[in-house]
Amino acid sequence: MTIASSTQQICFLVLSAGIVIGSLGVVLLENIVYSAFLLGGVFMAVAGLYLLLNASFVAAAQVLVYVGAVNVLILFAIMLVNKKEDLKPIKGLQLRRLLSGGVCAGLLALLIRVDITTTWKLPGPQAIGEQATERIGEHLFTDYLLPFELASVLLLMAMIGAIVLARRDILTNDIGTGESVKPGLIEKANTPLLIDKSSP
Amino acid sequence: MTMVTYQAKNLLAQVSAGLDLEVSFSQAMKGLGFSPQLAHILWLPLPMLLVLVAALIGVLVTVWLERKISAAAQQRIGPEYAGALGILQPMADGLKLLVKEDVIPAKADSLLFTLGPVLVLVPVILSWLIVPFGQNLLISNVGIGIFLWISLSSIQPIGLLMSGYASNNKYSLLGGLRAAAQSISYEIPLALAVLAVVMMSNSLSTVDIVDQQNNAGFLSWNIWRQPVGFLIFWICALAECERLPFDLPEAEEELVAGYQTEYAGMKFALFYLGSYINLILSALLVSVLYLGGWGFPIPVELLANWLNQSIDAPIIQIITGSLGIVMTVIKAYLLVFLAILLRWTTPRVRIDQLLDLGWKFLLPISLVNLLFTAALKLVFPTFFGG
Amino acid sequence: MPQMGALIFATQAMAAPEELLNIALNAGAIAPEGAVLLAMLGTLIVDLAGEKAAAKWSPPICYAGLGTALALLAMQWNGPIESSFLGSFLADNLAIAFRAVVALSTLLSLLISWRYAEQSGSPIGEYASILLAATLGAMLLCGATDLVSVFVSLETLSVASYLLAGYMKRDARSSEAALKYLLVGSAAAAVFLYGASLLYGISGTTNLQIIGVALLTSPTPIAALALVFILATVAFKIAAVPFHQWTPDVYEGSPTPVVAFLSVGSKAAGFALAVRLLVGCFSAFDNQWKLLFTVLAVLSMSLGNVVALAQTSMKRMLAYSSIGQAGFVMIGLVCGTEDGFAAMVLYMAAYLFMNLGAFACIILFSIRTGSDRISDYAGLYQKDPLITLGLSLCLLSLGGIPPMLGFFGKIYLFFAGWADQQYLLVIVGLVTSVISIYYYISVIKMMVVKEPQEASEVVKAYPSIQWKTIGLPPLRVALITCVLATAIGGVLSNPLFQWANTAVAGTPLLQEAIALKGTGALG
Repeated sequence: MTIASSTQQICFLVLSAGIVIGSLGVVLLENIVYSAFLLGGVFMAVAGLYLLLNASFVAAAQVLVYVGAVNVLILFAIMLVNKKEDLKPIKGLQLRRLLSGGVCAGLLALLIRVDITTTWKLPGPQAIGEQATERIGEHLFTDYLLPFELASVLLLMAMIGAIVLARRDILTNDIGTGESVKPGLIEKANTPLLIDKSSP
Repeated sequence: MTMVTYQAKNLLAQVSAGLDLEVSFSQAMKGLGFSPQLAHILWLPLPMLLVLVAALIGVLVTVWLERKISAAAQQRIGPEYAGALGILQPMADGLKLLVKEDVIPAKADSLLFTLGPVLVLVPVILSWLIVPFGQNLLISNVGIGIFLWISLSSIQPIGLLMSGYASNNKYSLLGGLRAAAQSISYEIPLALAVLAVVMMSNSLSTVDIVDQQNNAGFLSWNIWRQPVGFLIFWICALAECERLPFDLPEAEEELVAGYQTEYAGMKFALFYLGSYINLILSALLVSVLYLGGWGFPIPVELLANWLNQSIDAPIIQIITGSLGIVMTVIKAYLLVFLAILLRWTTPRVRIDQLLDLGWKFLLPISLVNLLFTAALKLVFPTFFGG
Repeated sequence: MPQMGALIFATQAMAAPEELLNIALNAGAIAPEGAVLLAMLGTLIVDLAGEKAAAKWSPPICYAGLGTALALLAMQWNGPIESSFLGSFLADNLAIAFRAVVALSTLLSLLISWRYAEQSGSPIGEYASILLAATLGAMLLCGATDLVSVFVSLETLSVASYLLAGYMKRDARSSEAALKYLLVGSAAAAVFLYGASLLYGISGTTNLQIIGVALLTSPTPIAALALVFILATVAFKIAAVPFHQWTPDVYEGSPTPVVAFLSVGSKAAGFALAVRLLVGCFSAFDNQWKLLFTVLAVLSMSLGNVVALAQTSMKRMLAYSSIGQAGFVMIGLVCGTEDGFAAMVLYMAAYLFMNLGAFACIILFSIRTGSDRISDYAGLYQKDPLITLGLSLCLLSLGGIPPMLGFFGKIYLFFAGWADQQYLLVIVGLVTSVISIYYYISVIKMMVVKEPQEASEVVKAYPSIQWKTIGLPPLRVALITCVLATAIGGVLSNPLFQWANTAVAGTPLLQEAIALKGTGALG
């Protein structure tokens, strides 16, 4: 075993351990801020795995998008809504946790078993290192052109929708008739759905 | 895998012109009887250490410059007694911070409180990986080059948010939130400005970007082809470094000292260090992206021809190599000087003005700039890197 | 077809990028989507001029865009089937039929939503553009033949749907519906991605055709796992029990016109996706997915129709009824015969008209009274005969009473199922149809039979009927169109049958599956 490959092995083990422990922490920790910071750590470790796979562009994009944008936004949301609220204790929480833990463990066991027994399509595409950036660009403009262009529509629409939902001003007048809008249509007398358990 | 790339790099280095210290080092090591692999491993930490030391010295110089220039701007003398012209003053400051008591507030989250400054500093230092001082004078010529810097600098807000939150102080939290908001808003126009340059040089690698600018001396520098991009980049870089007029996160009238309020001693020094290293890094990258990097205003090949010397002669190589380092540093420090001058002569913007400028002005302009560059590239491929 | 897939694969693997650039994109296949996209951008630009301009100009732009899209789809009908965008999209007849259903459902939903949006004080330009984006996603989903395209178009549809569900900002229930939909939908998307990654791991490609071939040659247990994951997503999209929990809450909280689109357009796209993925990709696991789908169909039909009995809210009742209706459509998919697929297409088209007709009536009623409680409909026939007639016809058709359109659709489905010996499905379908007729009829009884003095307070205070207000005339057009199509379509359903049969005949994917089934039965 050469020094290079053993370094790779060690890096892989450390990163994987980081991902597994970090994700467990994200799910299990009580403090949501810790979860969010750990999530950033998990994203970084995943970027490290990409680096090990010789996909440096993907790794950098992962850091830029997930750590730099997604995780920062999550943190923003948590810190702006820093309201301590005493939630009602959920009945049978321990049992629920045990059950969901059992289901997850079962799924994990199934996945591991299937993973070991399957013959994967190996070796995958040859790692091309530095040319990967160019190759990604070529793919985006040839065989993945349609999803790439559609993604721009998706982003445009998501942006507009987010602005509409976040905008404070709501029209108070009916554009068609000029009368004030009908409260009956939008503010229904019913209670919110989460509380309303009368109808199945 | 590493072995192969290493050999390939060796081969490449012998072909390409310019000084390559790694080859010389490995040859010297071979002479001493080490295997090439071991020589490579021995070589690895050397440039890193060198660059780290260079960055630290750069910070000391910048701090001294800041003090002297601010004094001049306010018609004072500035530091005077510590060394000639007060040149040792930054050292004294650093020593003071080093021996100060490390205070962690009782109700702070001590783990995050400690981790925050580290997360702010580490990405900045890592970004020095890609700063070239010459054809082969950089730690690593990674293919994604400048993109690495962009993605690494996006980690910084996490550290700011972390220290802001962990301080358990509303000024800190607000400062951290402001810093993160500012950082992510200005990252987008910054990346778009860089993208326009990348489009012209057809490569993300910083070495390629500089190479492409050094055909005809200062006439071929990117600043002539990307004047708008240069301005956008410089404004955004200042905002990313939280320099005045964009130092809202630390606006002392409103937020005491922002996310740094609760910090003292070495942890505070880490923030301080981070912000100055970031400033120098930004200045270096401006010089790499727009001012021809290590290139001399008149092409060195031309000069060598006049002196009837071969460009590959060892002595000329050493001279051009040193000249490259000097040029990079001179360009960077001119920009640092500009930043300091700006800091002491401009008022601070308001937070809404800051966000307006970022989202409503710089972002559309940088998009137009990108589009315009693409159009020019199609129409004049010779001038805009076909 | 597999050879063609292999050919594409070969070009992908070996061709130099320059050669790839020279392959024809065949982009004309998505011309209808282009029209929708142009309309979307048009409404956005018009919206810049202010709310008044948007209210005036958005409708014609949307009609033009969707009308052009439908016309272009009609021109593509029975055209040459060539894979476009290097294997990302395929405009076969099935895709065209489903895309037409989606586009038409958007057109009708838009017609009935102007008045509602204006009266509730929502910005119209953005509403129309988000709905058009959802349409774009749904239409591309109908023809996508590549996992990446499938995922991106699925997300376009889903994200637009979340936004639309939360469009009534002042209504807390609308926000709640959006949040629930978002959380459940994101989980479904994540599960889909996991399944897709497994498929990529087995086959090394994202092209559905090649994945299908790879699965045929070496069916591995992990493929079954991927099947389960992908099936869960499809079931979420078509709201099949037990993946239906989001449906009633989302349907009740969302703005009613959005529910109209979700219950038809989004569901049609979900069925198209089901056909592409299950029939096209998982033919190696034919028995397994058919078994799973049988279970889903039985559960959907029984639970959807039984729970609908107990509802007091009209929207909630239609939500459960739509779950049941999805169960009926699944019978056609499970059959996998020529008749089964044709019946599925036919029923989707019939469902479009009858469901949207019912929604048009509900919206008109809630615009005039602000209520959607079933008991408030009491005695309506004296005040508003049009709503009473329209709603009665549509509900009867949904229940499958002859001679409505729904009857023929349903009978064709049951016939196809019986011919394929899916006795369990057909019997459950028949029984639950009877149950559904009960609750549909009870609404009609509420409207028609009550004496004047027994009418609800809401109906007693019913406003005088007028059609002059801006936004009401389009609603009337949509209502009358849907009701006419529902009522007369049944009698004149022969062209529809032919259309559905041509849709199946002009789809190589389905023909292959049918041929495979035929040989399987013989051997």
